Amino acid sequence: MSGHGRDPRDRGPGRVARKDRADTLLERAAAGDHDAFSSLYDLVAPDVHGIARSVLRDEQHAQDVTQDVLLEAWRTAERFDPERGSARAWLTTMAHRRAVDHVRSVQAATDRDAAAGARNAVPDHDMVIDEVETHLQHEQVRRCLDGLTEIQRDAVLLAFYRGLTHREISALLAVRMGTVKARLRDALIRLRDCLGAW
Amino acid sequence: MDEPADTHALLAAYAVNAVDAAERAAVERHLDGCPDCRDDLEEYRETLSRLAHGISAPPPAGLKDQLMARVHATPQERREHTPGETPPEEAADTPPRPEEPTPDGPTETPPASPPARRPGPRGVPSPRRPWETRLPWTVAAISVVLAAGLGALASAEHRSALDASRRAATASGESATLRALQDVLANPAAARVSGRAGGGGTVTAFVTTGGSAVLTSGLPGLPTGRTYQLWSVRGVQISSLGLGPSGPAAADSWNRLVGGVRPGDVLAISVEPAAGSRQPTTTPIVTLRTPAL
Repeated sequence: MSGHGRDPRDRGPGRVARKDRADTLLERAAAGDHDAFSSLYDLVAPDVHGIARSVLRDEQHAQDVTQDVLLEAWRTAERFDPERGSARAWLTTMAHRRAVDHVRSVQAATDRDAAAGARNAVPDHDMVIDEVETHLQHEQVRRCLDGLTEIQRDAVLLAFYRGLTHREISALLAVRMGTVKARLRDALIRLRDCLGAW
Repeated sequence: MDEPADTHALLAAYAVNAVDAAERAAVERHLDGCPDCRDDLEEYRETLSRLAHGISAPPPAGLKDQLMARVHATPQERREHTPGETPPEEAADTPPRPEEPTPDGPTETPPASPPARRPGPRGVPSPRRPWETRLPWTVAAISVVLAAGLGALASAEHRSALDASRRAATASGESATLRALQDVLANPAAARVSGRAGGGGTVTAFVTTGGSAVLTSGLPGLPTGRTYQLWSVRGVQISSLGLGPSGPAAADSWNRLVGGVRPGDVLAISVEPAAGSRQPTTTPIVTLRTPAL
């Protein structure tokens, strides 16, 4: 299993290298170009802010995370390698992780205070799904999500748009944890096929 | 040792951050030896970036101005080798984990998380040097950005405030303050809080253990003989943090570096007689509770 070489070029056909404007701008920003970074902001800040707002459900925290993520992107822009993914993916990965970590650290503190640590913070599942869906702007995203099975769709909505763990999702949907992991995987593969061409 | 099949099944959950810390670590160890998994992960992330687009929501306009001010004050991480000789090991590490700089806690020392795997010099940022040598330029940039971004550029008062800050930047005594201000603005661990002032305008504070920056925009000017004064409130204790600008020139954007603010304190600004007061004599125009860390 392990023991493969670690050469990064040792990869399959991989993604088609379609260079997006964000890629070019991030590369220029990596060279210290403030104007390029400013244009990059215009292009990607709405996505970063959208994720943060969705996961954090607090506008002020969302703005803080947006600012922190983009500052971090500026600072570490040189690490971006277009061979290994798009600038948008690089940034949204950072944004999602930062937002989720923020929620969990706050939650951990709350749980410590609330002694028992009961997951009373996990809200009613239908309510959450409805709420996420009202924020879904993009027609194609909505359509592709509708093409998933109900469990696949709920798992993606709760994990990505709400930042829940697979354990929390399994409790919320009353399915086994193994099922959640597998459905997340199936969902991402189907979404890739559905969204891929745009 | 991990059960690889089990870890592998977590890859999609890992991509959406639906894993706990132990699982995250297990997946990252697994990724090191599994190029196919890294390819899968890349694909998942591309797909997720499209999902992100589905909930796109433009941040308020002021956010960009604040960010760009911090960007101008923040040096970039630079690798110490030349681009041609990227060791494969490092290249493998670099892009699949953009989150590396943001481990579970505050991020003041970003490259600290993976040092075990990466003993060589790997773009460890040298926080002070390049920045200091660029200082005059940076000071000008930050003054302009703060001024342009946080307030209107039109008024004469404003231009004179800007000129004053430029003059201050060249005076050596003041440049230490400006540098400290930049330190705060550029600190990724700074806690940030902002609010609207009663008479219009907004006030934002960045709080760090080493000092705090208060930035204002759009505050009204004051009558001659009156000044803005900054306060910290901790329990029943109210301490002066110093004076802001006074008179008509106090309009629009200004900033102050203040010490002695602890997370959880309330920051307040009130209007006081030009010499300042020992305790506030008017109702604060704004109060901001700094986040308890």
